[in-house]
Order: sequence, then C-alpha cells, then structure tokens
Amino acid sequence: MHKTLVTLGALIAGLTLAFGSASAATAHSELEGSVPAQGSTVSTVTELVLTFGEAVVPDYSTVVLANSAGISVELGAPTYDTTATVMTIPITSGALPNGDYIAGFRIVSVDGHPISGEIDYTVAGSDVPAFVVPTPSDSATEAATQGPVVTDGTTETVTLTRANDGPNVLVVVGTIFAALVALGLVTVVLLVAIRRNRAKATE
Amino acid sequence: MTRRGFLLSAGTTTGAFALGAGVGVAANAAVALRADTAVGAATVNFYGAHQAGIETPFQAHGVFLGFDLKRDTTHVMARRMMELLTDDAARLAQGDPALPDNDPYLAEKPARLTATFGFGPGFFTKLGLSSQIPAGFADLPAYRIDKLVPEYSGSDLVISIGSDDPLTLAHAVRQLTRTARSFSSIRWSQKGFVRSQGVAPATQTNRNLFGQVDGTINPAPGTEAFAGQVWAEGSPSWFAGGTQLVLRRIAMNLDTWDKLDEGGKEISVGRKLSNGAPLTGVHEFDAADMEAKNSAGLSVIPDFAHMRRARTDNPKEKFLRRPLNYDDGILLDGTSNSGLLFAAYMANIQTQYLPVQQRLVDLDLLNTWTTPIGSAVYALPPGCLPGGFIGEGLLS
Ligand code: HEM
Ligand SMILES: [Cu+2]
Repeated sequence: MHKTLVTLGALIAGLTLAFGSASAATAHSELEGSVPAQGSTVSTVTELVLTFGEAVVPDYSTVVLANSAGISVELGAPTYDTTATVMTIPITSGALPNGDYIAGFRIVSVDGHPISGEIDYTVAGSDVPAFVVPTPSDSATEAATQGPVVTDGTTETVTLTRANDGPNVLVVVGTIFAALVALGLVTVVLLVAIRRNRAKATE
Repeated sequence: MTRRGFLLSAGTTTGAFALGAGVGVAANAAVALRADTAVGAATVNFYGAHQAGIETPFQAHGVFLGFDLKRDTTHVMARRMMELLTDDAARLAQGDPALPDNDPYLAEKPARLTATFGFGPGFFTKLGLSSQIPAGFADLPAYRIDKLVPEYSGSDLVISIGSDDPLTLAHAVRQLTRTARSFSSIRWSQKGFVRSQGVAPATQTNRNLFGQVDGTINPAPGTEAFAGQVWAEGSPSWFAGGTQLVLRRIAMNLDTWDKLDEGGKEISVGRKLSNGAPLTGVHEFDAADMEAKNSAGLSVIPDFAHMRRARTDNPKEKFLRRPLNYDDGILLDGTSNSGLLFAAYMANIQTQYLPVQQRLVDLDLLNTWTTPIGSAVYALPPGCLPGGFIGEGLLS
C-alpha cells in the first residue's frame, strides 16, 4: 500500500507523478460507494456512510476526517448493518460547515485483507458557521487527536469553536501545522485532492 | 591428546584460518578442510551463572522436550534426575559421549550444542515445592485466540536442546530422553529451526515462514538491558540468575497469508518485508514513527499492526524472543503445517509477558493468520559450576 502512502517528500518531488502512479497501482477497489460520494458537493453532512463489497471486521476499522486546513473533525464510533458491509460513522459535532474535506478510511475485510483509501468531498450551502481556529493558548486539554491530513514534525493541538456559538457548543480538537512550509503543502495536497473520481483503495 | 585438547586446537586452527582468509591469503585444500569442520567443532560452555542456550546466539536447529514426572517421583529422585541430566548435557556440550552412550561417535561434533532445563508448575506441586515457585510464575490464562491441544501444552519438565547440526541434535535428544525417562514420561517433543550456519551473517535477524524479518526488537546479548529483562533476581533465592520461559506453539496459515499482497502483509506488522524496516523508515533498526500519518490522515503503522500492539516503552514489559520456525511437512490436503515455536524468556511472566500477550489477544491483525495451538511455561534455574547441577538451589 505504501505505493500510495504519499509522503510530503514525494509530494514535493513530483505531485502529478506520485498520484498518477498511485491510481495505477490500485489493486483492490473494494469500496463500492460512499455518502458523501467521492468528488461530490453536498450541503448537509452529519455522518459518513461507506459501503464495501465484502463484510468488514469491525475491530480493525479506522476512519478519520479532516478539512482543508488540516483540522481533524471528531467522529463517533462506527455502526454496521447486519451484513457488516455498510458502515455508518456519525460526525460528533453534527452537520459540517462549508469547506473541502478528506475522509480517510482503513478497514479489514473478513478474509484479512486490509484496504484503505480516501474520499474527498465539498460541503457548500451549509448554514453551519465555519470553524474558527483560536490562538494556540486556548489549547484543549481533553480528548483529541486523530491526526490531520499529514504530519511532518512540528504540529500543535488547538481547540476549534464555531464562530457564533459559545466555546462549548462544538469542540473539535485537531492538529494544525505550525510551520508555514507545512501549510503550503497542505494547500498542495488539497489542490490535488480536488481531482475527481479518486476514491482509491490503496492496499 | 585428550578429546578436549583436540577440540581446542581445532578451534585455534579455525580462528587462524578465518584471519588468513580475511587478509586475502589463498586457501589451500588442507585449510579449506578445517573451515569445513569449524561448525561441527564449535562449543558453547555449559557452566556459568546462567544456563546456556538462552543468551547463546541461535543455533540452526532446536528441540523442546516436555516430560511429566512419574506419579511417585520423590524429591530425592528429582535431584538424582537433574544430576544425571546435568552430567549428560555438560559432556555432550563439549563433544564427549554421555555415560553410557551406545553411539558415542555421534557426540563428536557438538556444533554449539546446548541443553537447557526448566521446571513447569507441576514440578513444584508434585514435589511439594509450591513455596519455592518464583514470583510471577504461573500458567498463562486461557485466551480467546487459543486453540490449544494437549499434545503441545504443559509439562513438568522441559529440556530445550540446540545445535547447528541436526544429527548431533538427534543424538543428544536421545541421550537426554533416556536419562529423563527413568524418572518421567515424555509428553511431547517439538522441533524447530532457523537458517543454517554460513547462509547469512551470524548477526543478521532471522526470518520466519511468513517471510518476515522476526527478532529486530530484542535485547542484545551481554547488555544490561538483556540482564534486566531476562535474568531473575533472588525471589525466591534459588531462582536468582534463572529465567522464565513462555513456550507457545503458534500455527501460521501460510496458505491464507500468501493470498495477501506485499502491502497487506507489511501493514499487518508495520514493517517492510524486504529488510524489516518500519514502514516509516528505511533501515531495519530505524526507530518507528508511531505518529506518522499518510495523506488520508491514517496512521502509517495502523492501530491493528502487530508491532504497534506488541511494542511498549515500559522497560518492565520487555523480554527476549527466541522463536524457532517449525515446518512439519505438507498436509494431505496440500496445506502447510508450519508456524513458530515462540519462545520468550523473562524474569517474571506476570509483569513482563502478560500485558503484551493481552494486548495481542485484544487486537492484532496477525491473529487472522496465526493460531496458538500449544502453550507451556517453565522456570529455568540459574546455571551451575563443574561439580554442581542444574536446579541444585531448589533440590539440594
Ligand atoms: C506466529 C506468531 C508471531 C509472528 C509471526 C510474529 C512476528 C513478529 C514480527 C515480524 C515482528 C517485527 C520484527 C521484530 O521486532 O521482531 C514482531 C515483533 C514483536 N512481537 Fe511478534 N510475532 C508473533 C507472535 C508474538 C507473540 C505471541 C508475542 C508476545 C506475546 C509477540 C511479541 C512481539 C514483540 C514484543 C515485538 C516487538 C515489538 C516492538 O517493540 O516493535 N509476538 N513479531
Ligand atoms: Cu481481499
């Protein structure tokens, strides 16, 4: 799967090339569909629904969600339909504000096969107030830390609140890049992420 | 010249040869012959503060023999048994036949032979020695992943024998079994192996039958870390310098494993198959970056990866892994009958081993292809000096 575990180094070295080869190396495409769908623009997202071709082993599932600033969005525990092929993951804070998002998933099918990939989508027309990144001194001490888009050394943890609400209404704890260089790279990641039809199974 | 003197001079010649070859001297036929016999002539000292066969670098072949004491075995008989076994083991280790030995010529090439002795829980209870059971020593709890069979589980006594030569090993097994059977009955024997001498550098980490580099994270022999993890301190006093062994026979389903692609195989452990490097590194011994994420925000070394589940920063939960591969041939349906004789050595099973094993029971993707089918624990007494015997602190 590491063929698609694209590192920052690889990104710097040659973005197009790296992603091109990642798609070409796709061996197992066992994600059959998702809501939101790959590349879609939607207005209301309160949960993620992933449908796989084979039953998955719940113990081994991991799903993460981050927005275009590399801020990770807290997710609740996944639930499964009776066939264990449809996985529903609630967004702890409820509906998402406008923005571009990347959901990363890694599951293991009952035959032991690990599959991972990402789903990129855009929320537009949501009336949920945007995330605000407060100063680092407001750092949360609680919960946290599914990582953001990428990590590369210097990161810091902050608490996010909605613009119009009190600090307790929505607590999304994430990690942002401290270094300007890293922020630039995130932008690059997102530019690439916007490419359509890229729900790729990477393992 | 005594047998011992002969072996010593053989060893010296071999050393000189190695040196000569190192500086580019062309090997003539006579010298090449010496090199050919170096593996067979090599010995490991039987006597010392600790039993041999634990800190000893892997021998190519190994056998674990499980015995149960006969019902009426007394303390005196157990002592006699250990005296005789010690004598056999010390002789065989230096290339001398046991007394008596019907096939003495098979003892002549020890090939680093070691024999290591350990006592199971039943040894203590049957002999009325329960008060002497070392701290933290007890059978493992039943785990939900286990499918244990009695043929490979438990026993009152274990003899673990290693040698670089399978013929020498078979002979030693027979000699020691004959002695032990006067006092006990054999319960099982389990054979294993790693690579042969000369195939790979002696310092190179082994591979198991999944093709994985297995043994990267381990205390180095002769270090303080090794001593701290492996050798027990004095509680009870007879056990100072001893160690505890967890022996698990773990079947590895090579057939389903081989349905995975290389990436799937690597991610199940968190290390590369090519050289054992962590997925976040380049070289085998690079420190793993457990925080690293990929572009989708997922941990590069997943939550379910064997190494993430097994690893610990707590020095009190570390131990020595010294597993052998087993391969008992192809079953009639064409599938493998292979796995690991997973042997782990530590001062205290309860505090060092149980937390790690529990984490692996709770979550470890490797469990998909591995099944523990045998399990046993042993208290291995410290070593002894010439004239003494293994277990003397307990049985004298
Ligand atoms: C068939 C069964 C098993 C296989 C194939 C296996 C394989 C591996 C491999 C390939 C590694 C990585 C390389 C290394 O550091 O050696 C590893 C590491 C490790 N394994 Fe296992 N293993 C098995 C069972 C166990 C069991 C039963 C335990 C203990 C209860 C265990 C404990 C460990 C530990 C402590 C590490 C080092 C983790 C670290 O600090 O990075 N393994 N194993
Ligand atoms: Cu599969």
